[in-house]
Amino acid sequence: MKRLFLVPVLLSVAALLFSTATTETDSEGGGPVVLSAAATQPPWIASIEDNRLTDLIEETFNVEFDFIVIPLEGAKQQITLLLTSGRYPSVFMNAPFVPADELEFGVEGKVLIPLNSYLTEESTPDILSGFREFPQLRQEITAPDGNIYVLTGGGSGGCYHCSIYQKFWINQAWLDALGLDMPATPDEYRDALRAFKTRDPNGNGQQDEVPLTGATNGWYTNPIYFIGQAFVPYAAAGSGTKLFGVDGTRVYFPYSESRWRDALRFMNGLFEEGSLDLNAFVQTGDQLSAMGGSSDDPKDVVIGSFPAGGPMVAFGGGNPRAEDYSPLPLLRGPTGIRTAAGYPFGTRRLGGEAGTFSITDKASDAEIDVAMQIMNWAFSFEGSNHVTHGANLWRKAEPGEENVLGGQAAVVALERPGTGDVKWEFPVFFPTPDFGFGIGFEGEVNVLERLLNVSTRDVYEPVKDATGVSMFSDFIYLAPDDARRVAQISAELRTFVEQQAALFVTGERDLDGDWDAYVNDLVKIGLAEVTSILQATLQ
Amino acid sequence: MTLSERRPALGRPRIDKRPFSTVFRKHWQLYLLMAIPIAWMLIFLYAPMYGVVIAFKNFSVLKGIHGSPWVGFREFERLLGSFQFWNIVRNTVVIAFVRIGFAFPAAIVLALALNEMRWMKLRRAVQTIAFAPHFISTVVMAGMILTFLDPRFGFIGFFFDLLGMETVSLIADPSYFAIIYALSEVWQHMGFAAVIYIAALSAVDVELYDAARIDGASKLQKIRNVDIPGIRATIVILLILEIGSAMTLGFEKVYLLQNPLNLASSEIIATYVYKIGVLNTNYSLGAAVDLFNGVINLALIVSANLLSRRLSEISLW
Repeated sequence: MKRLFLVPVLLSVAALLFSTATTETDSEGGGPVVLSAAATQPPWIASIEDNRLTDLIEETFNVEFDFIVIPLEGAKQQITLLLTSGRYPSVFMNAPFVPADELEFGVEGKVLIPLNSYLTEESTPDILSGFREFPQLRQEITAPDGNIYVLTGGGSGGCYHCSIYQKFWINQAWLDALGLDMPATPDEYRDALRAFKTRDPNGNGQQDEVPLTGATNGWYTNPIYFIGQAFVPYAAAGSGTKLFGVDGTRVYFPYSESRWRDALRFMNGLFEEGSLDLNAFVQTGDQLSAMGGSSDDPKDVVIGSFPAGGPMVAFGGGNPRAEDYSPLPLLRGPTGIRTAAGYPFGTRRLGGEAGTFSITDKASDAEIDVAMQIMNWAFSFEGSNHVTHGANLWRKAEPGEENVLGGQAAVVALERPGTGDVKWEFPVFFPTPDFGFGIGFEGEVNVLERLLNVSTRDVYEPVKDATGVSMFSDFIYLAPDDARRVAQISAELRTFVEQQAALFVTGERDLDGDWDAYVNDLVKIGLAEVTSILQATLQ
Repeated sequence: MTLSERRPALGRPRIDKRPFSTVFRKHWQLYLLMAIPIAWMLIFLYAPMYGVVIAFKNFSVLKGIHGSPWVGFREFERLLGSFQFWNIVRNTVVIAFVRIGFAFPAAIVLALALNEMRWMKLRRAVQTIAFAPHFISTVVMAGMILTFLDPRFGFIGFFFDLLGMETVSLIADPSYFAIIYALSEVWQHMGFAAVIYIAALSAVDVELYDAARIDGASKLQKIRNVDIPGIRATIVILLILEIGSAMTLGFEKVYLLQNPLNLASSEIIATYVYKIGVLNTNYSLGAAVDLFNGVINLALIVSANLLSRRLSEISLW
């Protein structure tokens, strides 16, 4: 514990050292404007300071960044310390601010300043046209006092397939080999798994097939959620307030309902008959990938189906066997309702990589002016392409050039050097809604990239069975105290739900005997308290 | 008369009866030297303790430690009333003491064994090999443990197969978690922990060994009557310190070995605070848990010290 708390202390010392090095340069007189900015740096970006995108912006706007670079891991803690110490910069870029932070640091704290008066038709036309195209985005970043404190991009950062994250992959080669159709209901899916188990689809003469597996940490690799969605709408690996659903005007918790018990019972059945691998609840993503292996011999493939954002999760190193997997459609369960959880295009994004932008009360007029120009650029066609693909690493497509979906590309992304210094995270807006998949690639089309995007468009997105039911939004402005309480309890609820689901599915707990105790425990953790806070917010 | 009593007694330091100013003037260099660690302690260990008041406040970043409103014992009430809390405390205690139960004697046994080794090359080799895992990073170590325990690829599963037993996933079973953790700690830190005992053993008077040999003591008798009494004080002091920090388990390793199936016995105070407090920047809650943990640690070390003073007359203070 002691060490845990030492880390922020050390970071704050480092932050102080950084910020004392800041010199207040007078920017009048033609020289570049010095813009003091804190930016979070994810591990896949080599350097923000020494970065082609930074160079491009500095050249274009006659500005010189004075960065406080914050590693993305632990960014929230470090930003908190910057604000505590009072030595925060003029601009925060890509800070993991959530609505509660806007209330705390903006509405109440007045450290973040309202951006509304700077969003004008003369100075920021591209941002405003983005808002016009997706009014929901503007609505979601407007705090209860009517002000905007944080700008974020719409959509999933150029990643169209990320907008529906909970995907599931089934071995198409095996289905074909056994002459099976793509399952559409839980029962059909169970039958397919039985066939995988018993009819030796990999043809090596051994019963080594693992019909269904997963991993404890990975890109949505927990099997309980995708299958659970067939029984309870939006039982979909959300966290925070997204753990909850809204049915009409009623806030519900998918994991305390008897429908969730049905889902667990179904999965327990899969486990009992040997279709669901115990390791799904034990192994790490690395171990899952070791299971997929690196051999491209079809006889060595053992995985029948697994949940993940993409099939490459189970097949490292560009193993072509990943391409044998097809997306399993959302199963039509007993309720008949199918739901696909995600972040629809043109809505606000949250989280560390979301790309946010905010200005603090330390900013001078010159800094505000140039910062808004840069943001407007990032929302423009030119700028968002530079930000998304890397500085000068794109061009407009020629007629006939294909995008990842096989249609006419709008823009072609050039081959990106693997140096990690061509871009970093910005709030960007995509000028056309199909921008995310309107991208072509120089050279060969990436088969997996195409698979992910096509499956999102054709398999998951068209499903809109759930009417009047939705996930509870991330973008609600809870009072800071409530927000903290909700965050704490829902973190605890999520851990507990996942733990108990694993126990129920593997038969460690009894779905008949222990169910009431489980629901009771959820209440003890604070389910009722959170539900009533959220219900009150909804009114 | 045990042999050890023939050693010159380590008397208490002589108290200088002269006035402090005289003593200070005479030894001012020593006091100056002492000032550095004292300043370090005051600045880095005592001054930050002020921050612990946020355990009793509704800490807000912008209002600061001083400006945040007092909420009394609210965080503690929430914590103690929390549904999982006592389970988590129990897990922490179980894992901590199982770890001490295995890791503490293991280092002593290794040191005694190495001490008996006469072939110096082998002795050095064994010591280095036992030492090496200490320097493997925790993340890598956890990955290795998980791989070893993987029923498909791990060597543990291989042994199960060899014995004709059904392969089970040990890491999925909550009842094995404490043991797995403790054994991995033994493997990782035994060599390093043994160093202190080896040093203590080398300070045992050679005459005692000669006397033991003349008296015809066997190897085991020698260990029991010469080696162990020789390092008894070291053992007791280290044990007291170990118990005092028992609740401060290595957070990273436990966290990395957790999975939903073993969580019932692998959720400890540190991992709970990380998930609930730190990730959500709920510093008041984090401070409250840490304070709670600190009080338990203090109670443990005081009682261990007291017990030791009663039983063995060796104590920290």
